[in-house]
Amino acid sequence: MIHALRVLRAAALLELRYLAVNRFMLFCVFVQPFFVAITTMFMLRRGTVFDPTYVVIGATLTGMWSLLLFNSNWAIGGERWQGTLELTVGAPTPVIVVIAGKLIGTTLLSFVSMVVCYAVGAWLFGYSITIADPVTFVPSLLFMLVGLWATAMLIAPLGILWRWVGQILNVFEYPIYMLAGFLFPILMLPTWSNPASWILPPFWGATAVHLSSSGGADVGALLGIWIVLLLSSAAAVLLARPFFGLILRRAIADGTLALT
Amino acid sequence: MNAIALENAGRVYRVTTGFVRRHAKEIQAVDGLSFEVARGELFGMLGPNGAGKTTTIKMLTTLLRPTSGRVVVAGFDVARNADRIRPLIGFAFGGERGLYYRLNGRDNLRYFAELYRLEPSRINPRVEELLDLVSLRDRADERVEGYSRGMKQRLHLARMLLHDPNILFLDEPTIGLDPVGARELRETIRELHRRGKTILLTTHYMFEADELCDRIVVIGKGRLLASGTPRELKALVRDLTVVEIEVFGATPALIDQVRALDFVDSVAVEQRELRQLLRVQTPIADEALPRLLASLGGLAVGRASVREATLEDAYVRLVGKTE
Amino acid sequence: MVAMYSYRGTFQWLTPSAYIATKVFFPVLQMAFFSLIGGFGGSQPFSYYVLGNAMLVGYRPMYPIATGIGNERRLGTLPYLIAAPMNRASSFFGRAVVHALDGLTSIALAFVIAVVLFGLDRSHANVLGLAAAMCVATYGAAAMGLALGPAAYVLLDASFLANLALFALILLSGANVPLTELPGPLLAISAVLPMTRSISAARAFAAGASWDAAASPLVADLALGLAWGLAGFVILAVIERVAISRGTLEGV
Repeated sequence: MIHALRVLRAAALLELRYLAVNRFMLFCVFVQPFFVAITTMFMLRRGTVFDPTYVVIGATLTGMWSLLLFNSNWAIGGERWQGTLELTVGAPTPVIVVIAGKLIGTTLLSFVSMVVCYAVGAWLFGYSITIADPVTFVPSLLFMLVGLWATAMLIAPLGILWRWVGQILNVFEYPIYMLAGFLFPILMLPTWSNPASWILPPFWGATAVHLSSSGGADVGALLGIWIVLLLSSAAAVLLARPFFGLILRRAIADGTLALT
Repeated sequence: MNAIALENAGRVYRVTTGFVRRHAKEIQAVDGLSFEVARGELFGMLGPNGAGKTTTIKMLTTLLRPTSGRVVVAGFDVARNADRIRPLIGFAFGGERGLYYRLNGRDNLRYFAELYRLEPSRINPRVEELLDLVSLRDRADERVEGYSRGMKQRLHLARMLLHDPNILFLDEPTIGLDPVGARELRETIRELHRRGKTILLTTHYMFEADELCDRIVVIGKGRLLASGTPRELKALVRDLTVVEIEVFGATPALIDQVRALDFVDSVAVEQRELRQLLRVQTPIADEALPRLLASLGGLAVGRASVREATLEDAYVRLVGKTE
Repeated sequence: MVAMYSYRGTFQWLTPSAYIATKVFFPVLQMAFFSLIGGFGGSQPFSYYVLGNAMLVGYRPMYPIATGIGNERRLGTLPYLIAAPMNRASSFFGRAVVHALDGLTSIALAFVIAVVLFGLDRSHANVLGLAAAMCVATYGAAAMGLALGPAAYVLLDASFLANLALFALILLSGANVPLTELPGPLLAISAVLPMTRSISAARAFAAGASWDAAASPLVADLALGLAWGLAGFVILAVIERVAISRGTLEGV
């Protein structure tokens, strides 16, 4: 257990060092949420349901998810590109622990999106961005990050097997934005898609974060949402474990751990 | 119990080409390979590029599954018990990659020490000990992206030894190193051997295998061509003489004609700018040179010499490759 | 021929399923996302956002063209390209052709989906005018790609610039935010972006405007696209000349 925690920490710090100079990831965490926030502010500010805090939070979540999504693939693709994936797989520590640590580092960096989007709402547009209930907002945000991290853990193994996955990862970007209700409620989507939202940890996380930031739910309701969020996150991680194992065995059988 | 054993090990790669209609092709990288390595032995695997050395070593280090046969390391099957093998072995594939270039040497080792589950209190002393062993302590705080090829190779070695494994795999450890660096690395390998480590190294330098190894296997196109001690392999060419002739403008057709001569065992060709150096192995000693010169027709000839066959000639004969 | 090889070089790594994912799913998903935001709380009708974002799918050629040029440096093929005895202008502009055609099929597909899935009303539309607007939008995006690629030799990298341009288009082209709501400085940027005028022309044609009434923005966008393409050609020529005289072509 102590070894696993040390590996999580070491991998998180390693990943942060690389993310800090990765232009693409910096785009995800700075530029994209900046533009999404500005665009959404312009789109919604003359409408009847405008809440600047909602837009700031929603745009933040898009930045967080995009960073985690793309880095879940880069966490492995980068290792392969550097020639360290085989070394990582060949070590006694399970690869899933290393990737979990890297994604924890990524999650920490994703907080930058919040600062960027806040700056857009408060300084660029001059709105008052306030959190209706800070006491429930903090745990909601933290649990949301756990939910995003757990979902990214499910996608990460795909990069072990298929190198081209990184090129089509965009396909997982917008669906999560929509199904999780980052910038509009899932009522806007066809009802047959609702079950897909309900099984996603980010949906429960976004619900909790929006409710606690914009007001509109008591602690009891939020408690229920947190429980579902944490349970669905745990389910995602439990599913990721055998998935990683399966994918790794396949990669070793196919010989796809190295670049050549 | 042997440290390493391969029984008819094989590895087939499936490659697909084409966009809409995809065609699958099978490449047999390793074919029915069998050999053993005893504990404490320094064992060499020789072969030209594409012979299957790297594929074999990846199977041994649990990074590639054999598609046929059995591969056993430290008593465990690589296909079924990879998790039990990994803590017991160390491997270094070398080269420019395989290190975290944004970290310095010391931090690279510390990171891998965590992956190899070293006790926290042991990590720093072990890292310093290995930096001394590979003479990198004074450069340990510099980022790996600034390291020379030789420094990276030494760092690979240090990383491999972090958890003090008894079985080591080295894939072409001295390739790309300058002569001094290569000599230092070979000395380190000898030292590890003296400490009782079982070492399997791959190389395509015959003299290196001759100098270091207790036993050698020669592989070509994924198959075992020969095995034995360096002395036993030299014996394969004991009765042969090597005639070296420098020619200008030898065509492949002419070389094939020379190969077909009844007194010629094998011909290796080395291209040197506008010249070709033919190394002809033949059982007939003194008569060989005039007969070969006669067979070359009016071709311009530079220097020519006759000598005894070496281990390298044995290797060339076995792989039968034109270089 | 250059166009075909450039196209193959970009998509060589894709399996058919991955190609469909990038060509069909991603643009449609982006279209759905911004349309639904607009539908949720925007001041314009839902169809406004659907049509605008369907037109935005025409951005697709920009990315592979920009990164294809940008990659010449990374892959070290630029010296060979310069030394080759072929017409530089035709090879430069030629690479855009197949990507632009590919982009045209994407935007056409986006419109089909906009009608079938998002209920975009085409009953009054001037279909030929709409088709012309789609062509000009795609051409404009391709031309922008031709400028971004060489620009990436000097600023940032092609992928970063192309993504930045995409988000600028999402915000400033009139696809999601009416141009009248943009402040002065942003409106100025909007005016020099390709696709802005094509989108406004598309809106007019979708509402049934005649060719004469709505074609002039398309002509302006054609000229703007030409300016972007020429700018790219000039930037690349200057960079090459400087690099050749400094002897830094391989590291340019």
